[in-house]
Amino acid sequence: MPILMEEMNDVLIIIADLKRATITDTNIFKYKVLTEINKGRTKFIFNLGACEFIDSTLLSALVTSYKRIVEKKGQLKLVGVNPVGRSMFELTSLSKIFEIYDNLEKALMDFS
Amino acid sequence: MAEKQYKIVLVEDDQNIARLIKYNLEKSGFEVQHGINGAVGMELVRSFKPDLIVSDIMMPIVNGHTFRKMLLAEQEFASIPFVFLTAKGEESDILEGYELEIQEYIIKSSSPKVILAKIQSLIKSNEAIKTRGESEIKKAAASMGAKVVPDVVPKFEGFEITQFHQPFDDVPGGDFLDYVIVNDNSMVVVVGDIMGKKWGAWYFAVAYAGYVRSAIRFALNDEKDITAKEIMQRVNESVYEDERISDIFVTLSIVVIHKNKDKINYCGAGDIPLLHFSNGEVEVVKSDGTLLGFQKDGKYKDIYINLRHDDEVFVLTDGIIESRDTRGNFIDNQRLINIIKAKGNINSIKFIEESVKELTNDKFEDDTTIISIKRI
Repeated sequence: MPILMEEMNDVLIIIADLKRATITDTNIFKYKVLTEINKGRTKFIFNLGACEFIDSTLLSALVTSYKRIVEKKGQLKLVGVNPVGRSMFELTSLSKIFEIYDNLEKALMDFS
Repeated sequence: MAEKQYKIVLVEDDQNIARLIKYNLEKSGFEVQHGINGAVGMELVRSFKPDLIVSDIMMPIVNGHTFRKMLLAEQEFASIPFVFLTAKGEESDILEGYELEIQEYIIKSSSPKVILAKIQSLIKSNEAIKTRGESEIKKAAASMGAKVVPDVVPKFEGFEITQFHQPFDDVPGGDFLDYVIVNDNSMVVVVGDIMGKKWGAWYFAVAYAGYVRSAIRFALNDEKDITAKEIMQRVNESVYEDERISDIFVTLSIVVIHKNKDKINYCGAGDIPLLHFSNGEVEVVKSDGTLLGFQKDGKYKDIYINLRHDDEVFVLTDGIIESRDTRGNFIDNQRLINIIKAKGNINSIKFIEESVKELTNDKFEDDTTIISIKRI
């Protein structure tokens, strides 16, 4: 399965184990995240460390997930965004929406 | 197999048979997920969104007939091509299967080669139907005037505007652009990108282009000079309130130009920064506005750019800078800037188009749009 889940304390880490995160995997990603939100989970980390490329459909899924999580008063943090992805986040001001961390430990520590 | 990797859900309780079929399908280029009964199959269909479902009939917990009925009950899954692959080979069994709106009924005693050939033939014929359908939609869209990219760029005194647009996989998608003549002196240039691809994104591109036009018309009633920020705010307020498109996010660049004036007005929403070419150098003009529809106040602002004669402003979506060269490296913003700097005095858009196509071997990974607004 390209979308893996791991729980640490009460934080759900969703790992996109995909070199190219594209339209092909968007539905499964969105389905898994929304299912977990509906179960009542509120603390999420998306680990995008394996992704060399993230296309706009998956970016849209990230934004939708963020919106749903915040609606439930939850928190979402991103880790492992590579330099190409990070520059795209900067260019399109998505970096103002998402909290992006260099590594998992820092992201975990920052959950209130 | 063709370039696209087709996804198949295989539902079969006999692990040995499942392994054999899965192996043969994967060897032929299919991506396969296996479930041991209809209940597991249903979960896989939800998460994996296959192009085809192959299912046994006699299985514990949820059998093939019940599984098929469950799929038919859900609009989203009812139309996914479905094949029964079963040992039940009596005439009555086969007829009972076809009553459940299946596409093919294959008896397990068939050789793996025959099973594979039948599945490939089914996929081929479904593709042909899909292609015909797309062609019909294209024709209908064209006749409705629902184009999201105009064929011709309007002439506007004091400026020369040129465009390059190429939809991903030759199917209309999420990029849209528009030129709205506001009055004798002003024109609004609109470049948008729905976060999505192909027809799903195209539908929303048509809707959004309409929203932008309405916002411009509405703002005109104020009887004062319209600004890019005002248009952006109005569009954002409308789409933010519209629940039907609450999960659709859009980047948008709006540029207002006035006849023979040196100053142009720009506002952006999560868009790729504008590139201002002047005297051999390129300045990146970045807007801080957030994606349309994401929050009620997108914190949009008006930016003004002074254009001297022969200066050019490039407005673009992410198609070019997210495409990759033949070595797999991205044509990022800096490489695009280098291309622009290298253009000399020739037509910029043509030069950019040819340069990028050469680098990528004419393979793009998204809709690609770039406009040049040149002060003349």
